[in-house]
Amino acid sequence: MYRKILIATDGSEASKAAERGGMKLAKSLGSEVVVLNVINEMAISKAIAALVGRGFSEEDLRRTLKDSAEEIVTDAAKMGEDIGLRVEPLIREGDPALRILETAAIEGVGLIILGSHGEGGISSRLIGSVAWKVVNWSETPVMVVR
Amino acid sequence: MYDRILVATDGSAKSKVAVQHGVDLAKATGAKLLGVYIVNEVVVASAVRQLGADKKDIEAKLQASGEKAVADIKKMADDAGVAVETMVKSGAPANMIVDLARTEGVDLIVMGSHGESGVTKLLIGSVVQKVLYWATCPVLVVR
Repeated sequence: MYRKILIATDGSEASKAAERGGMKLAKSLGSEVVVLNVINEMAISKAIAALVGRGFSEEDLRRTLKDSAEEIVTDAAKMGEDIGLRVEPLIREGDPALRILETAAIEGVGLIILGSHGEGGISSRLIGSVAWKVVNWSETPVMVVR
Repeated sequence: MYDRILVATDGSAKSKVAVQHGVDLAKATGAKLLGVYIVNEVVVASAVRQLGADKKDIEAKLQASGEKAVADIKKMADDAGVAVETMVKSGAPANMIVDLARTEGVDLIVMGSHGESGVTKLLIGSVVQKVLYWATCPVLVVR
C-alpha cells in the first residue's frame, strides 16, 4: 500500500519526527519517498522588506533561503537513503500548504506525512496552520506527526 | 514499525474507508489493531434534554450501533488476518480516543475526516480536529 509517500518538512522538530516516522513507514511498506520543503513566500517577502537596503541584497537573501532548503531536503533524503529507500528531494516556493497539496497531486502520492507544527509553531497542544490546511483540504490521506 | 494501531469508527461509510486503511497498515506493518467506538454522551444528554428520549433506551441503541460498528472492524481485520481487539466505550469521543491511545500504548490513530455529522466537503469534523490537537501519537486522517 502507499506506493509513494510525500514527507513535507521545514526542518522543525515536529518535521524531523515526521521524517523519521515517514522513512520508517516507507521502509516497512516498500514505498518510494518524495521529500518536499516549501520556501514560504511570506517569509521571503518579509525578509526582503526588512533587510534589503540594510546591507543585504535580495539575491543574497534568496540564496540563503535556498541553501537552507537544500540542506533540509538533503539531510532528509540522506536519512532515507541510509536505510535503502529511493528518495526524491524537492524544493518549491509559495504557500506551504498549497504547494504540499499540489505536489501530492502531481507526484500521485498515496499518503502525505507532515509535522504538527512548523518553524512558526509555539504550542505543544494545538496544530500549526500548515498542517491544519493540509488536513482540511487534502483528498489524500494525511498523517500528522507530533 | 507499529505495534498497535487504533482505528476509531462511528459506523458511517466514511469511517469504513478509514478502517480499511487501518487494517491494511496493520497488515503491512505487523501491528495489532484496536477498533474503538465511543457512545457520545453529549448526544445522549441532548437527546434526553431536547427530545425527551429515555436515557437507558438511547444509550442501549447507541451501544448496539457501536457493537455493530466494531463487529464490522473485527470482520475486516479477521478477513485480512490481522490481530484485532475491539471496545465500545461511553464518553466524549475525542477525549476518549486520545486517552485510550495513551493508556493502551497505541502508536498510531487512524480516523475518517468526517463522522456521521459531517456535512461539508472541505472541512474536517470536530472529533478529528480535537484528536489532532490533543493526541500525543501520530494521527492518520482519511477522507
